[in-house]
Amino acid sequence: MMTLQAQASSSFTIGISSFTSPLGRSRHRFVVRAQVEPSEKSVEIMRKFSEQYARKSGTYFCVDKGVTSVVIKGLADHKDSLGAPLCPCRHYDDKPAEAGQGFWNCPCVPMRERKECHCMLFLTPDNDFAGKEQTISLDEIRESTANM
Amino acid sequence: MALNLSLCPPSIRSPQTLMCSAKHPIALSSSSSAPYSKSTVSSSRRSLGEKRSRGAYGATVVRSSLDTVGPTVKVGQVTEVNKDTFWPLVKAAGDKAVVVDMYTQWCGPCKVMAPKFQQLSEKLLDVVFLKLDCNQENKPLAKELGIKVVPTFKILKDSKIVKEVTGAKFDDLVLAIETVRSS
Repeated sequence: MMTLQAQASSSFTIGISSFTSPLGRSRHRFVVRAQVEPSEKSVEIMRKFSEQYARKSGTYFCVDKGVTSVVIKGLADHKDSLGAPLCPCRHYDDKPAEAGQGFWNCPCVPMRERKECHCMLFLTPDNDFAGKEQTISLDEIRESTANM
Repeated sequence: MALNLSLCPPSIRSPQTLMCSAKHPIALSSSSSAPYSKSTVSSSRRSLGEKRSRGAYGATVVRSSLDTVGPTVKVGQVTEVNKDTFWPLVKAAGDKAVVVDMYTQWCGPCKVMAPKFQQLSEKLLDVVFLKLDCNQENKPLAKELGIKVVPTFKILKDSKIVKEVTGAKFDDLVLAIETVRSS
């Protein structure tokens, strides 16, 4: 698959979204908010991992695959920046230390011990938000996170 | 539907918006895209005609006496804040309850809560709704407010944190807001 993006482990693409007000009365002539995207390689790795782990743990993806996609990208983003897929639904004082320590590296201890995933990535069948799927394609991830 | 409480322009995104400028600037060049720059009111009035006839250059800002007032809070919508705009806005809310959604870019449950939070803001017009991206830039504020689980919702009254809801629990959030609102 041809890709224009460098495959270095710390590579990222920047999507520029314009936030000028509709009436053009923004203080800045052109407001740029850079949204850092995880590398495709890491997204693919975390996608495969998620499918595999859902099967292994008997859990299912959210009915809204957008949620699944966002979390997978969050895991990929941390894998790029920290070398480990730290949980994207927690706030950390020292991210590198946490990544080294491992409690919150996906699959985190609460997930491994009690199948508790507050990211809504891995959902037990009794969960209201659980769908019936344990697969998600790269296209699904791309499409549902296209507007970010 | 947002309800503006003052004449200030809508953008709260950038830290520089603490300055309120007059909504209808007195000096406005015909080709300006950003209608603000520094000049005094009296001189801009006098030079208005000149600027226009000269075919206008750049942007002009009129600093009116409204500049000293400070930020104004918006109700009926969710306002994005950062480490610089947060406390001034909380202060400006006066005795109104303030609820802030502390989220991160790649948190799935945050995306689930966002539209519900937005709808709630349109319904409860006596509560100020804010959202804070807990990224590297806003880390000092996130640390000050205290957050482990993302999303976390903090409810403030009179510039003090009075309640907190951790996780994407909408019903808990509504209950907490109602409690503070009616206290």
